[in-house]
Amino acid sequence: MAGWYWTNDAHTQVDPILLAEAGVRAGLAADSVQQARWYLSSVPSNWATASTVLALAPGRLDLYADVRDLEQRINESLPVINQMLTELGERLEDYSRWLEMASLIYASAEQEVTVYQQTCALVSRVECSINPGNLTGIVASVPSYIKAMTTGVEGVSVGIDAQHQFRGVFGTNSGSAATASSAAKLAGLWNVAALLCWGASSGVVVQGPRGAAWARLQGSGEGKTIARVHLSGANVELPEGWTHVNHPVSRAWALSAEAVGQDAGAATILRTVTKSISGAIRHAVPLSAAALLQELREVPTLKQQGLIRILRHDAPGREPTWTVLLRGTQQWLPGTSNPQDMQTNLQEVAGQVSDSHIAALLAMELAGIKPGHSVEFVGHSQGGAVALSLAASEEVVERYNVVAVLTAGGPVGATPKTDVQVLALENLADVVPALDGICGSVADGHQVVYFDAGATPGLSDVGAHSLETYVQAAAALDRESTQAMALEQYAFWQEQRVIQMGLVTAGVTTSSMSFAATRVRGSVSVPEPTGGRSK
Amino acid sequence: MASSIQETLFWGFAAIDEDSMAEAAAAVQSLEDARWTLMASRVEWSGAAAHQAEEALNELGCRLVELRESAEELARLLELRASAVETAKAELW
Repeated sequence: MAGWYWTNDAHTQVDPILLAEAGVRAGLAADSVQQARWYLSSVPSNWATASTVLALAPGRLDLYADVRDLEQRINESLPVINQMLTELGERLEDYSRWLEMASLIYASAEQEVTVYQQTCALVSRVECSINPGNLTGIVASVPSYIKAMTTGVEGVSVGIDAQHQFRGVFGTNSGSAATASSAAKLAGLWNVAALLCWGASSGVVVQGPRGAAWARLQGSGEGKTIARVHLSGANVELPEGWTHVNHPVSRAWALSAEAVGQDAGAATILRTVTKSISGAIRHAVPLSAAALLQELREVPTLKQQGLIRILRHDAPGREPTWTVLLRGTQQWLPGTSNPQDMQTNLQEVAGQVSDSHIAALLAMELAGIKPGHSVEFVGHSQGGAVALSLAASEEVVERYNVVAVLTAGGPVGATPKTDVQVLALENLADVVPALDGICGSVADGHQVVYFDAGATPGLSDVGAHSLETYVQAAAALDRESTQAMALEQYAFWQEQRVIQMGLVTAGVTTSSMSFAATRVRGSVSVPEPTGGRSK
Repeated sequence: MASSIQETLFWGFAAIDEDSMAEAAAAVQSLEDARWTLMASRVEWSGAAAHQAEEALNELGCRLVELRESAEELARLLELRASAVETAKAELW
């Protein structure tokens, strides 16, 4: 019977009550098989007496041979049938238990998603009578609620359920529109809370080894780049729209510090972060989903800034290709400087453009990804949602050749559909992918692989939503995909990805660059662009 | 000509044969019940897990049919043997 993974050949829908009844019936069938076994146990197992007696009758060997032949055949078939009965009885019992467990899975999943949506609805109703004091308290309670669902904190009932009973988030379709609407309202509340606490957002500054860029949301919801500061010094011919600076590093910090709207203290923080921003570092070429997630796992996490790592794959005679690695939520409080936070979570589920989305676009630009270059997006949790929203973004699709998306534990069901080949991994015990209120990513070409880490020997029990769990699952899936028909689409995704990314070319090398994204608040003065005019 | 001892032994076989044939027939019936009960557990659903469940259900159903046929074959062998013993008795006495 089933292994430890399932794939989305279609949208799973079932009535948990019918499934439980089916489990009971399968159990009754197992009982009937057990009854048959009991009946046959009364049949003597050694039939030789009649032939033995006949052998004493002289001259009638014909009678003896007939009976002896039949008794031998009976003696041969009895143990075979008993063995078959034993095996089938066990398999029927397994099947019965599987059905009953599946029933619990679906019932639990429906219940959990309903609870989540009720919470969203509750918070959105509060919006009608905004009280800053209450608002902060209510909004602040949401991250602990969601964290509880992923970590199983005692005292939060849904958290206990999520950790111990929430065995399947797939198969539930509680209405993505309702969830997105609730998330949009919640995102609005979150923004208000941030506004009250920290002031209005002025956009996102992204710093990389070769420059910094700053963008903020426009009224339409799309990001607009406001300034680009090159750090390479005065001898570089700058593209149009870039700002020339004589002392690039210090000016970049100054811009960022100014953008943050704070004093030299902020610059100190940025200087520290800048030191951690790496130039090109050589990596092994990531040829599989597991290798990609291992690369993602190596991206450091910071409280104050969101780190984005971009891999560049070079091969002789062709343009470079790129992998954008996006980590999960780093901050839960509203209005923090790290755009990889709860605000982005809510915006992504609501289908809005988030600061993490904009930061990734800026990082891609700073990395030197040129129009037409082949790009893939890889993300865990929030990073998965951002990855898919980037792949579905018109701005991205028009500018780059997006070839693949890999998400791990991301709430990606509500993301606008894209023609890109998407592979989504979802642990059944992980509630996060269900937070969009829809089953997986169901568009054509989107391959969702659900797995049960808790029931799989070899997958460490490090946490249902942990990236490590997904890394190990992907490694196991890589091994299985060479043989299992059910993973044909998984293997196809891997094959298409390495071909389109040019990773099977001789002499291909991979290097990485890291970028730090900071959400800025307060007014900002921007230097005039000097790019395109002089050195 | 058979001895009286043989005749006594053969009369004893009749009871054993009758019981065994009845047990084998009951086993066949139980297996048939199991198959019908299992088939009644078929659920209308769709999706990947449903596909796996359907495959498992069909395979279990096939195995049950195989098993029932084996049990029927056993019952038939028991019946043939009983008939062969009866033939021997008639020939000898």
